[in-house]
Amino acid sequence: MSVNHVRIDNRLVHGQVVVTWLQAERADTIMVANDGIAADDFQKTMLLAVKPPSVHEVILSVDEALAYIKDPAHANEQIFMLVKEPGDALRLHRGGLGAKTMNVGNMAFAAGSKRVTRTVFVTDKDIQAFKELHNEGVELTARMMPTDRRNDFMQLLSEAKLL
Amino acid sequence: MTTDELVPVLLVGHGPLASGLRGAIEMIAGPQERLEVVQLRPEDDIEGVSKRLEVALRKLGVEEDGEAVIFADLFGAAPANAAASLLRHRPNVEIVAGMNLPMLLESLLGREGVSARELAATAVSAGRESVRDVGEVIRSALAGAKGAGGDG
Repeated sequence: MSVNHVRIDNRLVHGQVVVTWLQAERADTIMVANDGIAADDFQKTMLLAVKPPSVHEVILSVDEALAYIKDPAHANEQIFMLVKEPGDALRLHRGGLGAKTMNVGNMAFAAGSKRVTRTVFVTDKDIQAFKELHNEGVELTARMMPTDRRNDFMQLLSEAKLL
Repeated sequence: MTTDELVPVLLVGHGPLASGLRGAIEMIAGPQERLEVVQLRPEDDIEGVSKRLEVALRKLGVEEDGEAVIFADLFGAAPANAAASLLRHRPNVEIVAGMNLPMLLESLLGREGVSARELAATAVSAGRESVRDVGEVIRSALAGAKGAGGDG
């Protein structure tokens, strides 16, 4: 198993990821784990057509992502994994992903969501998923950039009075 | 990495362009050291802009014979010409016109342990390669996926 980094970021593959994170985490493979995109041929083709030329990229459903990671054929890949929301992160964790840490990148404002930081907004459903990840032993950090301090995301939720 | 090893970079452009580019760079790659911005305001003359470029270079710690790369927005326009006029007494400053975001990202993230001359050359090729016809890229990928049976 070689998932170097799991990032919860609703922009998925974007500038910060491509320009700074892949290198910082020495990743050679981007994995997008999202049921909706994996089922949408247009979005899949589009994302693959604009991927950075130096890396391999796979777009899979959450279940396919788990199967991919457990397949010994991919044991040598250094994977940077992206999910859109904490609910998917929880599914991956419960499915046996085995990542000890997950990092929260950007979560855009949505109807009914509450502010945690300048760039992270969460719904009640998100908070519930984060709590469960935390209770099940996953360390949650909040780093936009690789150089950012390893902020404890649960602490930020607590400071925002959302726990 | 000490900041002394980073090639100093100065951005100059019409109105808020250069500071806007800095905002975009820092949104993507985080805060940048040894980076200054100068803008041409509608009321400025070229000499005034040259003077502000001088002030900015001094702020960056660039001596008269020191190296730096100045990125300007448009070849032949006032900001680039003001930068060019500095070459009279600053022989080791490089000036690249036609700055764009990918060129600046590549340059700012790759300016450790290189000369200003090398950085300018990298910037020019990165800037050229970065211009892409997205519609054409996507349409041909879609056509390829269809031709391959749909699931590609």
